[in-house]
Formats: sequence, structure tokens, C-alpha cells
Amino acid sequence: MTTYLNGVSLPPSKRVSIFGGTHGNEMTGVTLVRQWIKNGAEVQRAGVLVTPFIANPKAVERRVRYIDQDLNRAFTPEILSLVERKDLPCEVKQAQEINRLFGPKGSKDAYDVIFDLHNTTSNMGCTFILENSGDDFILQMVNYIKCTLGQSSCHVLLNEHPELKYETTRSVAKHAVGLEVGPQPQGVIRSDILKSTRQILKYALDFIQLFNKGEEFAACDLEVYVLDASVDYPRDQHGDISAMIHPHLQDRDWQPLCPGDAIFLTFDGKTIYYEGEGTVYPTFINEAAYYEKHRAFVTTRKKVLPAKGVKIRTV
Amino acid sequence: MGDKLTKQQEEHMASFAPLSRVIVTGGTHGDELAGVYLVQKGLVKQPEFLQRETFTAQAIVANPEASRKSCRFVDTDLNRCFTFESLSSSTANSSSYEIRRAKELNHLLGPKGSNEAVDFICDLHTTTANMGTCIIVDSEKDYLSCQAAHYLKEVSTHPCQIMLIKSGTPTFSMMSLAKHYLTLEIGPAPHGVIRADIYNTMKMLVGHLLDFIDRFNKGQEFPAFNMDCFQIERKFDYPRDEDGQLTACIHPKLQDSDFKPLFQGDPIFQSFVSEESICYEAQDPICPIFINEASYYSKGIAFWGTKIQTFEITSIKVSI
Repeated sequence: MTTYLNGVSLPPSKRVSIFGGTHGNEMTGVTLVRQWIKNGAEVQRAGVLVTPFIANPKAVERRVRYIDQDLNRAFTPEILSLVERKDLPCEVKQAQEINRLFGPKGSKDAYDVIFDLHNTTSNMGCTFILENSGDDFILQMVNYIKCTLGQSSCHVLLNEHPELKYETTRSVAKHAVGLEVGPQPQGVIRSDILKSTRQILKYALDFIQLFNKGEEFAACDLEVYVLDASVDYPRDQHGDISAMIHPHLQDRDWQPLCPGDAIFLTFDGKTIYYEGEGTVYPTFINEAAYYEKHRAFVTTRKKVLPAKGVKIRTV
Repeated sequence: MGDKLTKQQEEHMASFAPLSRVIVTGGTHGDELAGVYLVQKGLVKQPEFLQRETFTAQAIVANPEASRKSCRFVDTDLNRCFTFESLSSSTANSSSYEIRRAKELNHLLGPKGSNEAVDFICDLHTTTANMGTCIIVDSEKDYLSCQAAHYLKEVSTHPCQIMLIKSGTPTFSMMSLAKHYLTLEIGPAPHGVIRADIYNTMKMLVGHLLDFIDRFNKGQEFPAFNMDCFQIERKFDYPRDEDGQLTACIHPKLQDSDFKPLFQGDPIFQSFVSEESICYEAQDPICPIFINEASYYSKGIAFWGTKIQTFEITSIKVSI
């Protein structure tokens, strides 16, 4: 990265991958990637190698989130450096394979961009999940999409939380972009969700092409939601959940939650209230896969992130 | 049927013995959490909810192993294991958890078709389809269950539809262990998720059902009525390629339109590749339900086509 008068100049993004089926029951990515593997015309852009890829084929075949362990938590240095053995868990082997094909993670040979397509049972709309507030290239991409499709077309969840961040499948690439679209039940393909995902990806790829051709994207501000805390369900002495997401919170992803607002309803009808500090913006409210991860919802705080201007580095 | 049905022809009334063994089951599918949690946390822990003057109902988790794992089933769909054939097949051959469990339940709540079977089962389900509150009854000839369904439809604060299984289908579901039975199917809810609104609706309806049975037992006569319902006709599968993979999904105009009639030329599927519409071709209108139910992809069902039927349901009264 080098700076120029108005921003930073960056190398072109020449190798891009689109992952579906990191979780085998999140059907939008599975469906789109399968189509693009058969006929990739829609996602091809001149000068860019775009590789659609099914990230966890065994989980996709069984239409489950994972076989042995969550692939989207498996890209730690420890796992990636494990010596190859036949009895390694399915997702460990798959993580190592993905690292070979699209990485190595952290190296100059890694893919430039990976878009990882996910669905959620939460009412999150289209949400970009980003891992690096300093990645001006991706911030500018999201800004481009918002300017083209409308500011309300997507939210940005930024996860740099020291305890809550995790090593994602897409983290193998230089630029990691998670796209989470909901609400959609696991195992279901909704046409409206398919359409929104397709549309967002179209403009994301257009951005890369424009950038590679030399278009300059001026400095801008991007509204993001910074991951703050994870809130578990109330549980009884056996560890079983003892309350549900309150009807006033259900489906209200991204809407302000203030101390004193209802968050849970016990099975015998009592309300439990939010007791945190200040206004937060909850999301991942009632995500099916998070029951086992002890997460009823997460809280975020709104922030405006400045993004430097970007243009392609011409050496 | 084990229960003696006496038709008093002058009064056109069906009478039945009082119902004393009443069972509420959740977790027939272990990932349909409203039923699982209502039984485990709402009913077992609040036993007074199950008590009425004339009986006390019992709440049971039908598929405990699948419920523990929050999956639909362990080996095979429990809710298809209750045909007479399946129940009487040799246990020694079965390595399927659900086939063994079905026999256990038949021993506990049945035997199906006998006088010893429990009087009433209410089975609790959720669906990813936008079916609102749907009451499923096997046959229009089970007057008592139809009257129960009608009662629920009348008292419910939410609109309810009554669905009938396809005529002539051998009974296969868990609820069919009992002499009389119905299923509450509520949606939309993702599997593996508990929604408070669905839980509360389900609880409210179970309460009303127990009230109905109590009133019946105390001698209230439920008059004859015309039951408008949706009866299963046929299933519609997704368009698939030679490998069995879907080539289209439910069309946006059909998605979430459960119970609304489909006419010739209406779009039902949308191709993944071209986004072109595939249309309903038959001349006769049909009412689709279970549109885009997650667990039906592997059963080759995009939706069920139903026809609106009206049946005369005889009045019922308890026989002392």
C-alpha cells in the first residue's frame, strides 16, 4: 500500500473467490455457487479470475451446518498447521485444503478477495461482516454498493472484538468479505433472498472491475455497527434455556435497544429487561445456529468509519 | 376404531364416552422447538395448565433423542412410522431409533386401533411455510376431532385453517395412535428456533383444546356444522436436473401465499439460471400449502396442492 495525494494506491484484485456452503444448510450461497460452477458468466469480469467454490461439500450434501465442527471457526494457525492425518475431523481437513487452494493465509500468494455467502434466521437483511476497519478497499466497495443500491440496502457489522472475533473461512484471503443475508430458515431457498444476494454481489464485482481499470474512489465515511457484546439466553441450573427472545425484540435487528427495554420472555410469561449501558443496536437476534454457541443476540454500537480514497497502483 | 360410535339417527348426533386420557405431544420432530419447549418447559413445569375438572392431560416429548439434538429425526421421520404395517413389523430387524420409538409409543399410548388407546392426542408442530395456524385432522368421519378443530377455529384470536389428509390415505402419523386426534401446525418458524409469538399461540390453542374436551365431558352438545377445510390432493415437486438438484425455487408470487388459490397460468417456480417463471398448468384451481417447507426438499415436495371441501359434521355429545 502506498499513499497518494488523496488516498492509498493498492494493487489490483485479480483473483477473487465466491464461497457458498461454508455452512451446508445456508442455501443461498450453495444454490448460487452451484449455478456459477455450471455457468459462471454472470460473475465473470474482464481481467479478474472469479472462482465460485463450495466450501464444505460434505456438509452441503447432508444439508447440515457442519459434520464435525464449524468450518467458519477452523482457520486458526493451530488448525491450519496440524500435521495431515487420516483421522482429522472433516472440517479440519477441509480448512487445510481451502488454505492450500486459496491461501496460504497471510501470504502474498493468497487470493485477493473471498466473498463468503451466508444466511441467517435473524431479520438482518443484507449484512456485510468485516474483520478489518483499516481495509479501505473493502470499505470503499461497500460504500460503492450503498451509493448504487441505496443506503438502506445493507448494514455493515464490524468484528474486531478481542474475545468475539474468530478465524473465518474467508480470512484466508487478503480481503475477507462475509455477506450474511436473512431472514431465511436453514435448508430453505427463498427467491427474494437469492435476488438480494445476487444483486449485492453483482455490484461488488463491478466495483472490483472498475477499480482494476483505474477508477479512483474518493475518501468517504461509512456507517458501521461495531460488535460490542454477545448476550446468552437466561438458563436454568441444568444449562437449558429458560426464556425466549421477547416479542418486542424478535425481528428488530439493527433497531435501537435501550436499558429497560424487554429482551427475553420466560416460559411462564415473565419479562426480562436489558440492563446494559447506553443505546446499542442488537443483531443476530434468534439465529438458529447460535443456540449451541450460547448466543441469543449480539449488541453493536454505531460508528462512522472514515475510508481513505483508493485507486489502483500503477507500477 | 376402538371407540363404539352410536349414531342416534332421529337426532343425527354422534355420542362418545368421556375423554379421560388426553395427551399433548411435542418434539415429534425434534427441531420444531415450540412444541418441544411447550411440553418440556411450559406444561411439565406448569402442571396446573393441564388440569381440568374432568381430567388431567399429560405432556410428552415424542422424539426425545431428536429433541435433545435439535434435529428433525435421528434415523427416519417419526411421524411416518405409525402405519399398522410399521407398528407390527418385527423389532429385531429395526436399527432405526424412530421405528423402535414408534413401537414404544404404541405400547404407551395405544395400541393403535384398540379400546386401550388413549382418547385424544394433540400433536404440536411448526413449519417454515407461511401457514399461520393450521389444524390438521385425518378424516371428516372423525366427528369429535372435527368438532375440536372447529371449536379452536371459532375461539382462536388468530385465523385458523383446517386441513384434511388425502382421502383414503392409511393413517401414518404419531397422533393416529389415539382414538381421536389433531395436529397444530404453526408457521412460519425456522427449524431450530423458538419464537415467542408462535409458542404463545400454540399454548393458547392447547388451553382451548383442553377446555373443549372438559366441556364435552361435562355434557355440552356441540351442534352440527359445515366444515370448510383444505383437503390434500397431490404434491408438487421442484423442477430438478438429471442429478436430482433443484433448478428452480418457489416463485416470489407463490412464496408465503399458503391457502390462496392458484389458477392456470399463475407462476409457481422461478428458474435459478434465467429467472424465468414456470407456471401452474392444470385447469382446475388448487390451494397450495406447506409452500417451501425446509424438511420437504428431501421428500420431493415444493408444496402440497389442496382443494377446498365442505363436509357436514354431525353434532356430538358425551354418552354417560
